[in-house]
Amino acid sequence: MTSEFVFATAQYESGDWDSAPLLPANVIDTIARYTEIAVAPTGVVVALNDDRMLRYPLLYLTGHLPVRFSDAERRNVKRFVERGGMLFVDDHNHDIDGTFHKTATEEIARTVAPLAELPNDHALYSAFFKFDGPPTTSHELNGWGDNLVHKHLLAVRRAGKIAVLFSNKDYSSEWNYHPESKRFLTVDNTKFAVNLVVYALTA
Amino acid sequence: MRSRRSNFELACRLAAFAVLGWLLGGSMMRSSGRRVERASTSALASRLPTWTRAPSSVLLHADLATTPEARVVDWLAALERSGHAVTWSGAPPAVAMSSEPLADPQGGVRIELAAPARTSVVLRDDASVVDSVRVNQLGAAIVTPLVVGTLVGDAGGQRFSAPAPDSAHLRAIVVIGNAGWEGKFIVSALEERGWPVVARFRVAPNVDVTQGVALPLDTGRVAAVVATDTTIQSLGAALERFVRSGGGLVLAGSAGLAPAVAPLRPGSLGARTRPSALPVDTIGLGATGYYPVAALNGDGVALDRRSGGVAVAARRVGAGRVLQVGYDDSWRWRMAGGPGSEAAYRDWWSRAVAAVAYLPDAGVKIAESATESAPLANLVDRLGPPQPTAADKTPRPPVDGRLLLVLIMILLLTEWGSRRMRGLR
Amino acid sequence: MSILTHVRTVRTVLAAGVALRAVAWGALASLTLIIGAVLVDLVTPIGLVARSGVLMVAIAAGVATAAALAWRDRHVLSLERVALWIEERFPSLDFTLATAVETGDDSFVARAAVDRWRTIAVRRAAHAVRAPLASIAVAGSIVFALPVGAVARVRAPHRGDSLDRPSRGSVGGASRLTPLVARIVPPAYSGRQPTTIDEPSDVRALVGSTITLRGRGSAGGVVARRGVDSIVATSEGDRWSISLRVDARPVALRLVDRGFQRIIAIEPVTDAAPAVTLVTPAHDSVLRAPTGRIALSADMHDDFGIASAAFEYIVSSGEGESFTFRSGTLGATRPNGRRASIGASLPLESLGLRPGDVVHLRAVAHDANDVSGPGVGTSETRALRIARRDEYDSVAVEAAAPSDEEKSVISERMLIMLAEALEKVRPTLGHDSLVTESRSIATDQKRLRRTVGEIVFTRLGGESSGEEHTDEESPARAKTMQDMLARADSATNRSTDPIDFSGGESPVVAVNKPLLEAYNAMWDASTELEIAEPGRALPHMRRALAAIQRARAAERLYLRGRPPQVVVDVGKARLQGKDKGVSSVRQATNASDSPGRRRIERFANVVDLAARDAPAAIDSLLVLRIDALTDAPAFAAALSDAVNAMRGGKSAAATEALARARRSLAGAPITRDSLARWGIVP
Repeated sequence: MTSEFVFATAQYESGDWDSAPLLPANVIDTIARYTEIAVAPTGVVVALNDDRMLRYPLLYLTGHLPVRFSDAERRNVKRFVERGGMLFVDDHNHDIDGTFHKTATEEIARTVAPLAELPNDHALYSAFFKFDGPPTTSHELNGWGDNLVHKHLLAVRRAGKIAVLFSNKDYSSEWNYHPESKRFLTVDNTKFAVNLVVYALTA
Repeated sequence: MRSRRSNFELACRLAAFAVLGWLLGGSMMRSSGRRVERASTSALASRLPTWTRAPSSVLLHADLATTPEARVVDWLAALERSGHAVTWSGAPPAVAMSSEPLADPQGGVRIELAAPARTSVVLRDDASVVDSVRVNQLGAAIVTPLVVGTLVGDAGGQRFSAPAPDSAHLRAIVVIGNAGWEGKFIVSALEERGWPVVARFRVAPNVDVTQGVALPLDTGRVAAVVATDTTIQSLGAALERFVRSGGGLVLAGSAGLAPAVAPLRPGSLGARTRPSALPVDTIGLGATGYYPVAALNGDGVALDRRSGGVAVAARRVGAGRVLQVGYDDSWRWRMAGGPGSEAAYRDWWSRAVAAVAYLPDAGVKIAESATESAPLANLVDRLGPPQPTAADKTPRPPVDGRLLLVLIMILLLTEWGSRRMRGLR
Repeated sequence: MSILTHVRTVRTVLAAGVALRAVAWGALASLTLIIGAVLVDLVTPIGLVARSGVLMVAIAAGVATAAALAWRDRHVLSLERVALWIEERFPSLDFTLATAVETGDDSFVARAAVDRWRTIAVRRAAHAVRAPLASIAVAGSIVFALPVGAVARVRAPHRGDSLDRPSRGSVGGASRLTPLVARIVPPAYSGRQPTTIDEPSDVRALVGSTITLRGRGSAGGVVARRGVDSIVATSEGDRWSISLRVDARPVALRLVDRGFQRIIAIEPVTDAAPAVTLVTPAHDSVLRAPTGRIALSADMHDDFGIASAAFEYIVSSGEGESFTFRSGTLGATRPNGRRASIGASLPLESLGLRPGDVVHLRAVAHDANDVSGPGVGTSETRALRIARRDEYDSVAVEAAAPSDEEKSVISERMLIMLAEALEKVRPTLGHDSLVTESRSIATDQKRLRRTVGEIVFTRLGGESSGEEHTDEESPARAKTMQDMLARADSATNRSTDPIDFSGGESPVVAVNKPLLEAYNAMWDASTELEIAEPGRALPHMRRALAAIQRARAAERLYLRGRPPQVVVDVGKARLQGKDKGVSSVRQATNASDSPGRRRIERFANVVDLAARDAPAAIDSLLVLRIDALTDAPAFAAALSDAVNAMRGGKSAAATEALARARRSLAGAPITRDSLARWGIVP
């Protein structure tokens, strides 16, 4: 085992956990581009029902389908959060009325605590790059999902730190491309991922 | 010519006078020794009033199996000062206790006990029993998170005590390193424990995540510095000055490789160990490898030896202390350890910092207690060392004086009776 | 009337007198005991249990007294004795009456003064009952003179009658907080009966209960303080009362009456949500076709009662970015009991499922909590997926619904069933039949093993099969799991540096390992089946099934192959970004245990106080206990023991409880039996 940062994707039983398979590599590339953080060159997939998920203090969870934690998954997520881990959940449907949002928020409320709006002046938005709030994605108004631009992310905070971060903005679609394709972009739309990781590593 | 009767009467008279003379002579004769009043530990307190009224010619001697209460010792010392000869003998156990506050925001007291080997000591305070220990060599140590009132030790009937110290006034802990899980969780653990933390995590060139105001490294503001990697190098010579003046330093992980800490570290670092088999389920401290101390400096002390080498070592540098902790991913223990690992991790890091953190001198605390913290030392200090049993040098008459008086009366009565009965038929 | 008749009349009168006297004395004995108990209770209160026994004891004593007296005077029933009694009073009879009674011949007796016999007997009887009746009258007067409440406490003892006990001394200066009665009325949905507690110090009540505290005296000046809130008492005749509702937080209620104070700990009992277990379907499944019915059943239980229960389903359709969802419920019931089992049947055709659709099923129960709920309990979720046409997942076993047996695909479980059946009938089969049947199962087993092998090696990116397609032994075929693992490791290892995966293996290998285990176990099983040993094959087959289930648990829905693996060239990308970040500030974390620290200080202060003012220390411990109930239950329990011991004057037990309390609050001390140079370092 090394002590570098390893991007981990959470695998859960009930849904399509791997709906954004290229996101991990893209985020890893972004971290390397802007920071000196020691980062593993590939991501890992960890099952939430496996105790080994505790070895990755930042977990990314996404999907389209309903999220229903099994008892083992719920136990592990609870332990994970209590010990200081951070869970980043992104609704790949970007649909506030959709089943992923409803079921995932229900599971989070049941397992950890209800989600609440994260103020846009939270330290997350200035952890590395400066943002006025959660950056908008090009998918929020693509006609699918709820077709809304969500002004806030949602979060569960423990002792002032974000334990669960929930996004309706579909960063999973926004960041789900091969890192080599960044050269075609005028503006790097993954910079917020740096804030996420820097916040997780230092908060 | 005297008759036989007259001779007998004369002899009675002479004998009576002789015995009387012996009695008088004995009482008037100065003895070459003195009368000794003795008491054992249990009876000593009750005998003191009597001893106080005794003439100064009387030798007061205490046979002590245990050192009596401070009040009794004070009294004996006062008697000695007032002209009495006070001695003592016996072998009371040599016990002593000291207490000092832990460098821990949650309080706690370290109590060090000195006692003969294989002595069982029970430590109490005003609330209840704290703990008990059987001394292995010369002493024992107890760290307790809570003390109520006065600490009292009992070693086989010998009681000794020390006041609970006041809480320590703690300075900040500076944590410095690259942004990563280890630094994050060390800071979290220290803050959760209540330490004020000043942190600096390097993220990119000229980009740091900081917490707290950058403090000058002096013991007036900073208790210890925790370094998680070689970024400690940036502190330069100020670090050595800080440590030598009493500050604490914890070199975690690869921090010991920084050139700036070479004169401070307890030993040089070896290559990081990697276990042959990784933990399958829970991860304990050090289970994923560590930086061992390859060679201890002359005055370095190994505190934690593992199969791969020394994982934790310590050293005193000037007035300060340095702890070298080879674990660079102790955070795995907190996150993926067994039940209670989060609290255990927090305790561990807090104790590591407490072991080196600068603590200002709290001064002497006087407590009102019936016993002393070092009773035997106090006794020797007040009354001198034990003396062999003083034999009683008073020349005792072979016969009790009262019997002699009775003998005198009999002799005189016999003489008188003989005279009265003369002429009787 | 004959002489004997007169004698019988006298006997009747005398017997009546005896009976009356016995009853009267018995009644007096009972009354005396009751009056005695009332008087004692007036001086010092007698407990409810003792008072409940007093009445029974009094009645028993009365009956015993009456019986004893009646027995003593039983001779009054003897005619001879009656005759002698008459002879005593009428000496002139000169024993003729006694003779007449003995012989039955009354001709001996002169008829003079016969009428006076009855009169004398009546007088005698009246005399006998005079004393006890007078005593009863006196006792009755005493009873009427006693306070009504005092008598009622003995006559009809019940909880809460402490208020009926008359007060002693002047009421004006005395505390109105004693005696105190608490009546707890639980919320209606719980179905529990109200209870009453005399002199409460600890009250445990369901959240939503109403607690009414009553005491004697006027209400003016009596206040209950709950945190920063105050509740003023109201008057009910010559009583005061305070009502409050139990909420979710434990609270130390402080009753104040002028200079008097009393603390009552109110400990809420939370209504737990129902616990629901989905019995069937027992596992997730992949179905070849959306036909048939899925049997659903669930068990549930609740601490008070289940108001409603149902199955919920969500159907997810679509792929990529486009999904649609439908949901519904079925099997809704209103069990209304503490335990319930519900069942339903889900016809798959009614859902309009298509290949790729996923049905999530779970059972949900609501309790009847209308105070803070209702509490909702949910079971684990089962997912049923309809296989896509391009999938090849013949590894799937045990469909949730009974599926038609397809000869082309036989699941491992089916093979186990066949082997078990064969082993069972083995004694009745001939050798040839046994071999034929066994080899038939072996052939299916090998076919399934080949399928598993193809799945494993397809994922590894290697050749489509790791072995030949014949049943012949092949030296090139890897037989052992170690060989398989070695092949898998070499096929997946893409860099010389170990990636941060557990065990140094890729997640693909971690997923494949159970399938490799199954592959190996199937090999062993088919070998045994080939030699007609189904019994020896069964353990291997079960091992294979367990491994398949583990593999299914790891990869549940997606067997379409591993996601694309992109390895980032971190060195090349390092600091190539055009933009630069800015330094930021980290927020400090609050000390996690500052409430604990404050609690330690309070505990130390309370122990200090105990030496000087024990009652005040007890109150403080009670308040501290309430504070700790939620997050430090062990500490709260130890404090409760300490309080009870201190109230009972048991100092050794109190010290032991305080020792436990300090350990659970602040942790156990660390002790070393030697002095270390560096003290106690981790």
